[in-house]
Amino acid sequence: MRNNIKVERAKLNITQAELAKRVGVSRQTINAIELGKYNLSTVLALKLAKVFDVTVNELFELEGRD
Amino acid sequence: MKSYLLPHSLKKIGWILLLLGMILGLLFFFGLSYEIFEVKVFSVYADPLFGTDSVFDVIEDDIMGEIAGVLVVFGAMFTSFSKIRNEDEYIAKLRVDSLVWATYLNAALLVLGLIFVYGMSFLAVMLFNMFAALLFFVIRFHFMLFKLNKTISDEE
Repeated sequence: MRNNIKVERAKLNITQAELAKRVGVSRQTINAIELGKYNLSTVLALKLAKVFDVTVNELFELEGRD
Repeated sequence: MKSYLLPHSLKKIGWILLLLGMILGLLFFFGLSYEIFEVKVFSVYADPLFGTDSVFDVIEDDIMGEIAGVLVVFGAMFTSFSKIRNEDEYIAKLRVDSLVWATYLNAALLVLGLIFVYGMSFLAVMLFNMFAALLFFVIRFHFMLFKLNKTISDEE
């Protein structure tokens, strides 16, 4: 699964820590998601999309190996 | 979602219980005994080496091993099944993965013990096996947490 979190973060100019605080997870979790090391839950995906004011589909994308 | 985890406050207590249990358990394993542990206890079933069997009876026994075992079990559960300070879904995944990993390792060691250890020494394998899965879990989970906290972000 590919993600655009880093890009969206840059648009809002917020750090991983700030984003983590807004969606109620740890900074390490955001880091793991950004690096594609962790497939997050639907609830968290929806929360992230809400912060960036985009849809989940705009934030995450299936990859060949999924 | 429903969580089966224990409150965060039990984590520290868990470490203390685990440490005490391990020390007491090792002393017991190496044959030390203390008079204060010789007490009368209620037993559902007992069949001592010398003497008669008893059912639902009060017997006299050295309960050092029993105390150590209970402390280790509660300690291990409290340390690893209580919420950490910043508990979230990724931590939950690490916890479950660690549990699976510990079960595999424990099963592998148990099979080795079953195949290669015979006679009275097998009792030691069983004794170890009673607590090994929990202990492997505690170690693995906290190692993963340690590694996680060390990851440096790739931030601006």
